[in-house]
Amino acid sequence: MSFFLAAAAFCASGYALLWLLRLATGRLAVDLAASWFVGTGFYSLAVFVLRFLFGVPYTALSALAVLALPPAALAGAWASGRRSPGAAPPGSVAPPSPARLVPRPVWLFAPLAAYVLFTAAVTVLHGVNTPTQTDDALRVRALAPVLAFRDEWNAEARGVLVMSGPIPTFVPSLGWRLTGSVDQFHVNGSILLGLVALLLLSVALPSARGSPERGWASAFAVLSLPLFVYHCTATYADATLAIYLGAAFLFFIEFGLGADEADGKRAMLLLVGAAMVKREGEITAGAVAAVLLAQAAWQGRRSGEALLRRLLLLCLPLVPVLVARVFLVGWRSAFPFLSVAAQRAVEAAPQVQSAPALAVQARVVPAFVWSVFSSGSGGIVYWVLAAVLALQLGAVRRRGAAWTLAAVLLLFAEVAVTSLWLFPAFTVDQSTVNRQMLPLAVATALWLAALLAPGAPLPVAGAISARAGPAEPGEKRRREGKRRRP
Amino acid sequence: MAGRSAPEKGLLAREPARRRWLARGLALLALALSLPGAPARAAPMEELPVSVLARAAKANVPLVLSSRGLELEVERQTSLVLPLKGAQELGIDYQSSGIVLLTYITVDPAARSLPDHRGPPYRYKRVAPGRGHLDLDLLETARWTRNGFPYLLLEGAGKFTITGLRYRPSGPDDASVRAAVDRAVFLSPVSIGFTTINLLYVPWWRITERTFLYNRLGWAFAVLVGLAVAGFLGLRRRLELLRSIALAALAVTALSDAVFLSKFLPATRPLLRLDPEERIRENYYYAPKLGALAALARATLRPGDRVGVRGLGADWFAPEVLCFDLAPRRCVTLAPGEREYLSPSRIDRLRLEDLDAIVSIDSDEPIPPGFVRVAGVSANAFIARRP
Repeated sequence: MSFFLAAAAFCASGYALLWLLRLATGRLAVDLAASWFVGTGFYSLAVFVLRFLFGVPYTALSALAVLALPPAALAGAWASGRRSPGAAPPGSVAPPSPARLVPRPVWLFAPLAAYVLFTAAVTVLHGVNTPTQTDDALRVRALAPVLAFRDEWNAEARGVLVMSGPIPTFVPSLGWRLTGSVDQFHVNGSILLGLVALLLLSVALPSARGSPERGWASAFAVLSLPLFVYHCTATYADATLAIYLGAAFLFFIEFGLGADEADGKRAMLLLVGAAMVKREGEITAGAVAAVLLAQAAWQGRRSGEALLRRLLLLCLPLVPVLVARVFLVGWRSAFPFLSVAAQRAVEAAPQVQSAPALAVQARVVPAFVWSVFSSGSGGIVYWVLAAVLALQLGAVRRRGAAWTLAAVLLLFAEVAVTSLWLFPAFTVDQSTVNRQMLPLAVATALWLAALLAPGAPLPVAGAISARAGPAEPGEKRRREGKRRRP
Repeated sequence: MAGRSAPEKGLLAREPARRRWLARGLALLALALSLPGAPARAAPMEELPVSVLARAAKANVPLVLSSRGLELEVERQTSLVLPLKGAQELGIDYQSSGIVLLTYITVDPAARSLPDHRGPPYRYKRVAPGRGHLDLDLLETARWTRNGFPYLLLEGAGKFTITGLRYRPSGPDDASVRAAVDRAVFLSPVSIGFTTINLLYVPWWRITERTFLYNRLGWAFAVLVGLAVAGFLGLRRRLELLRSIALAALAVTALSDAVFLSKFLPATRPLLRLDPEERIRENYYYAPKLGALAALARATLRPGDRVGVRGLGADWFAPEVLCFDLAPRRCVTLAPGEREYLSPSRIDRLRLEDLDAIVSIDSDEPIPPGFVRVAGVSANAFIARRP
């Protein structure tokens, strides 16, 4: 019960924050799903910074104060008349097409929906039933919330926290903090609730924009990734990272399709959350954020760079997180990938490579190719991606999916560099490469679903014109006519 | 085991088998006649009298032939090699008391080493207490050969009695054996263990040819897309290429999903148990004695107790699980010869004199002075505390 109370508190806090930031869509299902990600992200960030930059102990009182802050601020804003709770938040455009719930053709999508509901139910039930039993989970991922509950941070505990990241550390611990007792299953529950929120967002967001086909196809594509489905039950943080990144990616896709500034901001807000999962989170989310910022800069060439500045502002809360992390474990451990990359740059030089290292090098490329195409960890998603890239690049651009494709390719490049160059031994022995690809697999699946699903994805130009409100018949012709007149 | 009622026994015994058949049906339905290897004409099952088994089997514990059958005491690990060279399948009628996990592998006398019984693939069955029947498909195990012998490993605590044994000998020729192996491995369920992290299963299409399912599916997808491209060009672009790719992707993904579900479902436990203590006691699927001990320790120890845990030799799994399940209590692993003990991830450091209780599973070490046994699930799985 305490788990569901904690989940409700996260959602309430996140929902209020969405309204405060004027990023609520006004669609309950979409806002509810997004509020889980925003609420958990805000809570983890605030508690982490308060604890490690300002020394505020992590108690039930401080936890409740953090959670109550957004609703209180929203209530204050409403009371002072600065926000109208019923009004559509400025910055978000009217939905380009009316919301539609039933995908067409029904005969095609009914089995997909059945698969989604059945697989999601089995995954959730199995995950909820399964005690923590994997090594990394027992030593790091599920241990970190226990350390948060104890709120005693010696050097080793700080190391575990940094490895796990603020979200996997503080989210499962809220229910324990409030009740004073530990129920180990909250760790799995947090991951599974994230999965449910991702699936809800996958279906509800495109449906709210008039394309339930894209919504169900997205959920189907995500649940067709075998290793991802299993990892949602394995108490590792790889699935959590993939879930947060996937949620952000859904809004990024909408930003690409509709050029709605608010979607860009929502995507960036959720990417801040993804950056707080594992040590790899900031690099993975950073790749997508970089492309999002590039798109904002590109679109702002003529209209000024206000959106770029606003997106950068949304990233600012990460700065104290990074500062707190340096405080906790020092520079080298706070950014382990930089030190590993520097070390690897020396080791990888041909003149210093040992015979075993050279043997690993010889086997790493086939092992990586096997992981991508033959392991089945990502289903057949990379085969489909290859086909689309080979045959339909033009359609990608026409359908407003070019920037999101750039993000997918950048994620792929990251995985390739890590697997082939930074940690080739882990690729050859198949100990990390497939789970490292989970965020990439989820992003790729969502991107492909958005591109390939029937229904009518909104052309970019049409979306921009929709900012002024829904076009009436003949309006486009009238506008063109106006432009032609001297 | 304490607290397990009769209806639950029935569920435990029947439910996974039911799902396994459902899953297999799904796979068969989805893949129809395209399964790797023709359905092998299986040899009939043959019976091996228990008295013969008692004479010819090799075990690391004394084998007792009684009126009930062949009796084995299980505490820690009891191994049994059956004199059934090349057996493909076993049907075991049994009677069991206590908590027993049965792992099955195949050993080839010519091999230099025994395969790791934890795999991959890790083939195990939880033995429900009371009378029951187990079907073991040995073709699913790693390194099955016609020269191999079935090797059963019984872990836990209690008595396991074989009351009847049937087996299916290997096929008459190499081709039928290869087809049977390919088919069995293709249909075999995922076996989840504590090292199932990076790869859920190796997706063999035909293990004897070392070909992979996802290569087949990928090329099938490529052929479908190729046909779409040909149609696109031939029909002067009246065919929408992107939609054709979508349909090809959907068709191949449906096959991939059918295979995935057919392998994943038997490994899942989708029956909701509301009580977390029951979930800990019952759902350490491949470590039932450990789960029972963890649940008992949670019920026995006080919230503020400082605990030392220990397992067999260098076993890291049991101490990590116990310390995690006993959180937020301070908990360390009792390593022999150490003055100061460390917790997993080295968060806590405690000495023996700091400890209030010890949780021990399968350890060879005696109970340290000053502690007395207060509860246990078996002779070697117990809780001791200071009086």
